[in-house]
Amino acid sequence: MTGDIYARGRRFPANPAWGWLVLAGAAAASAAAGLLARRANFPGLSDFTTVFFSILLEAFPFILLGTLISSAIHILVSAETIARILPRSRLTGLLAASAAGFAFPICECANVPVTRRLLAKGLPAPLAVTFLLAVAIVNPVVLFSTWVAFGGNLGMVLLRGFLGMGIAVLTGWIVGFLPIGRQPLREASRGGAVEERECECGHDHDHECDCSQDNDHHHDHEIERDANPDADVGRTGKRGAADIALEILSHAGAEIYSVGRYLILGAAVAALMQTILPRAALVGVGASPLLSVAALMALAYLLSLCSEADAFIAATFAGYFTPGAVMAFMVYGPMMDVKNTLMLLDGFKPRFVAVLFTLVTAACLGAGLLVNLLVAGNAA
Amino acid sequence: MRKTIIAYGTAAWAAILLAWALWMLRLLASGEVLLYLHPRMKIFVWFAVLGFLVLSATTAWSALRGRGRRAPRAGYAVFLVPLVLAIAGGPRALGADAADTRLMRISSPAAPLTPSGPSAGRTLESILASTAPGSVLFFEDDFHSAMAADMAATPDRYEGRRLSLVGFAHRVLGLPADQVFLTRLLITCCAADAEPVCVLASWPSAAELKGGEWMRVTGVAKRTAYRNPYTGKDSSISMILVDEVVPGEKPASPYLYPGQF
Repeated sequence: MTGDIYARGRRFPANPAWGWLVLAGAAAASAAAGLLARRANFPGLSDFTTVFFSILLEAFPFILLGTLISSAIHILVSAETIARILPRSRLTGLLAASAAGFAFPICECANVPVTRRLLAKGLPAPLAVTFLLAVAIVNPVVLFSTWVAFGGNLGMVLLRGFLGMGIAVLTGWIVGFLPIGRQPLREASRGGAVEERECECGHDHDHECDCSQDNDHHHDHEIERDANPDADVGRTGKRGAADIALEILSHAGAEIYSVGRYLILGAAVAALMQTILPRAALVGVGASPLLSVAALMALAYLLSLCSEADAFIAATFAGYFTPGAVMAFMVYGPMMDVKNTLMLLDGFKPRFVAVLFTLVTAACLGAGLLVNLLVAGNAA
Repeated sequence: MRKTIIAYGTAAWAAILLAWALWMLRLLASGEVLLYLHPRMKIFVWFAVLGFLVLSATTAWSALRGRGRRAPRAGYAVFLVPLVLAIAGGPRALGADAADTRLMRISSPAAPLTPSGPSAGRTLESILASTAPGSVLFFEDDFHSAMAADMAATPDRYEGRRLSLVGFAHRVLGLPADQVFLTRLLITCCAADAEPVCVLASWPSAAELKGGEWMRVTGVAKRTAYRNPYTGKDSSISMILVDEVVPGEKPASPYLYPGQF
């Protein structure tokens, strides 16, 4: 069967030599660029690489944690279990999802794979969206860092926490009424594991893939097991703890490819913005109630800071921008930024990501304006 | 029984994971990881090293049993390019240029953080109290940002005191030619969140500085009027009237790291 080698799902021509050629070419080009940067003194390039690798080094542990949790959910938690533990009331469910960060204090890098997996396991989209948006803000580590950054100002901590929770619940609630909210995941991410689509794991699953044997076909990985009939028992058989652990790790090894590549691309964009975008250029609109909010939201999106650290940057804006803008920076950034948008696009339908982006942007803009109105009202 | 064909594509993925783990391990072992991260983040990098090693091993195990891809994905290049770039380019600290794109912290609302290590148990208050008015008050790394913020917020406490600090010259629009901000970059989590901590200093030959030069300056603090070039707001901050400059002196660490939280 010849097939169209560029058909949907195919990432690369069938000839394996191409893959090696791309890797070799990429390695040679990046080695040359690295050596050039080492010899020449390009401060901008040096700052770009430092910021880029700092984002990666900071994010990798949490991406790893996210993929491990996601894989553990995939292997250990059934859809029935998810259905059984869900609160009966939607409002209770949304509130529980918005406060889940107290139980799982994960950041905006780790929450994307976990949310994808929970959705694939049948968690309703409103709850998954609320969890996705809230968990990087409404968690003890982030709230404590906000408290420290703003000199022990409890009002800022509570405002950030409640706004984050409120926007997450509101967005989740709205998503529940939208047709796209019924199935936000891409076809390939549904039902089975995300990494099954990526097909690195080596376990047993029937699916269409482009994975191993260099031709276009539907195949069953059982074929590959024929080579090793005594290998792991697989999902259908009785498994020991070691088998389960191995299966979780195998899935995580594949999923980190799926999520990590978008993290790397997002980190590159964020590092570029950090290097070339002078923040002082935005100060001109700092006093405008509307434009200041919009400007810092755009900055939060482009900088893609970790939610544990963004409050410290927000604190430096305090004298330059309106209070609503500073708050919008701290609420919007953990919910939407370059790197998590790219990661979302990997597993979610682009239309759903666009809807989510629009809802969150509108809600955060409104929240920032509201804060400005309240502050102006108090000052008057 | 069919002969197992090694899945070389998946083996390549295992090798890339291994290479990332080894690169991070090298950064940790050499201490160069601190050019990118706050020390408290090291534990997370150790976790990543361990995780990548384990994932690499399990992926290699699958590949050796013929499970996975025979050819590498083009997407592996996304992981390979930065890795090779990092190894070939070598680690570097953020330079003075980074201060140009960020807003200065000349006053800070941040709560004083509790230093760890050798400075544990000491506070800014205890340092100020233990330094006699006639002696030099040195900016220690653990208290540098707190002291700089305190100088801007309560200049009277420093009026007439002799101060000494290390930093790089940072020129800001609107400053008189004989004034520069002696600056250090403060890192809370990683270099992406670096922010300039600035102390205003003045001496005649400062006009010859281009910006970015490291030095130690010593002088007497004096209250002065300052107009923020971005907001146009006037305030009163403490400025060091420098009488001694040691060009080229650099701190042991290029960054300041606030205490743990």
